[in-house]
Amino acid sequence: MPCNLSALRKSNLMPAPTRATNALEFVKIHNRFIPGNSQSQKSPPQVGARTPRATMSHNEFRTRLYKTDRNLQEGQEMKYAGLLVMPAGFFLSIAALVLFPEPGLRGAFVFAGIVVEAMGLFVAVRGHMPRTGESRI
Amino acid sequence: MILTSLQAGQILPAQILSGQMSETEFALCFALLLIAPLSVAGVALINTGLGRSRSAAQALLGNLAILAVAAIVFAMLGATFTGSPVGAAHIFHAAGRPWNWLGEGPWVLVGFGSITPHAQLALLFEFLALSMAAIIPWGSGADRFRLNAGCATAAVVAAILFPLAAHWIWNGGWLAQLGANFGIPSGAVVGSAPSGGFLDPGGAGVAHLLGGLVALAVIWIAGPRRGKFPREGLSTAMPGHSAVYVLFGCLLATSGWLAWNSAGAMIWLRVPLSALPLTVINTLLSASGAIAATFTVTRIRFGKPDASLCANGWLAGLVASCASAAVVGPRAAIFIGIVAGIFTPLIVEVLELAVSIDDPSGAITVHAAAGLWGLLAAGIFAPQQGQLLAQLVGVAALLGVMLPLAYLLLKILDRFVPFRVDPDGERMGMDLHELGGGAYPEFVIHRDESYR
Repeated sequence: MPCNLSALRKSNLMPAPTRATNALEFVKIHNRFIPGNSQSQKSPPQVGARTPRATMSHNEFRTRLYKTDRNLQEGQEMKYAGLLVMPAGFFLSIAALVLFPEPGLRGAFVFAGIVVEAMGLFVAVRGHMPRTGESRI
Repeated sequence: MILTSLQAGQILPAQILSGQMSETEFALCFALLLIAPLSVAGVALINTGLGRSRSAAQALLGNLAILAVAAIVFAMLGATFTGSPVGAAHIFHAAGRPWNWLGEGPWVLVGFGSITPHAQLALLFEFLALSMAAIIPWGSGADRFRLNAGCATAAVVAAILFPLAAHWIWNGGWLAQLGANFGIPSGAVVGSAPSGGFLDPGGAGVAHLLGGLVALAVIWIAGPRRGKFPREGLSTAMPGHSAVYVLFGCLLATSGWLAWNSAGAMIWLRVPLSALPLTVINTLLSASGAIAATFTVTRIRFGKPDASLCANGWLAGLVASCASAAVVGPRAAIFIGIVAGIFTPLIVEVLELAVSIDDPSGAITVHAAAGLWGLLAAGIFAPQQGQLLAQLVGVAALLGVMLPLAYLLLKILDRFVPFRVDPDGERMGMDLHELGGGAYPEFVIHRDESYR
């Protein structure tokens, strides 16, 4: 049975206006309802209440996670942008091979291609980093 | 795009591989290739030791399953696209130059017995390199990467990613022909290998860099282990469960690596037998320089040397030697190892503390970064002119094509075969969740403080 988050909030089973700001917080909130979890044993749901997370598949969980978390959405976009920049660096290196027979110029442009790839990798890695607090860069 | 077929004898590596190989050389190379899998076994043991005890059985079984899937998929499909240096290939012409981008071989290894002995050894070497490339991501996904997802990832690597890289670099692809097609200056090389092409006889790029990049994609998709990066404070330390496995894995890998680099030099560079002892010594020196550097760095930074980081340093030295052991001198080999040993603990720290990448086995540092350094070092220290440019082009191709392609393919794969185990399974441990029994049934499993 699919999970209805608003119904859960109304029934006080879930902390009401708490908004997950990252993946870990989302996991913390929702794992309160996993049967057998130590978190759920600390604050057990009411008698007779259903356990929504137990019926949620991996993909449903992840889809909901990304819909909830704006930071994760932005991170994904940054990651895709970085990964698209990387082939651009590769094509720059290839173009240098074709266009410049002179070794110095050719080497410089091939190196520039690698720098572009490194920038793309940096953006992709930066997009992956969770924004989890002040201690994170 | 014009698709044509390249026949035997038109490319330089074909001339190399179609050359006669004496029975002594064949027997020695075959014997080396029988010892080389010890390196894969060592890496598997290291990956298991760096994971947690609750996932140890799943980790080792996963290595076997991944090897099996990769071998079958490569034999049925991947070897066709990898092609053979003495066989046909797909080529398109652009800017007045031929671009040999994909091999064209028989399906399911039909006619394997009729190809030249040298080409048979080359294919065997590719099987081993694929094994290494396929198990590297498995260690990075430890404690949360599902077994069937690991096997599916290995199938993708064996069918698409590895064949592309292996064909480009080893089997007469466009990277192997940079010297012939683009006039990159060339000079005499050790043995009778074609000069001016991308130099990677030990698989630093084809096996290790590729495996490390796939590992990065797996980590991005699967995410960190639960509790690894808490909201407040530094990341949670999750040390490996057995330093003994890790250090013994290093020793096991070393014996395989010595054979691996020697066999690679014989197959891809055709070095004379008299050059093999130097290749072995360079491999050993590189690893030794690396562990000495890591030992020193960790002692300075933490007050005492760190066992798992020193093991990673040793392995990084071995990886860095893959591309260059056959073509450099002993002093250069030590330098290459020292550089690898210095950056290994630093990158491990940066990845975990600054970039929030949860890589339990350190594969991104040990295989991707050290492999990258090894490829560049081969260009810097190789005796022939212009080798550095060829290495830069090869690195650009591997980084710029393989990482985005790997991420794209694995992201699609994740929709059908979810990579990450569900939270219950992760808390329970992969052994109990996926196998129904632990690796150490008589041991008491302690409660994990990170899940409070």
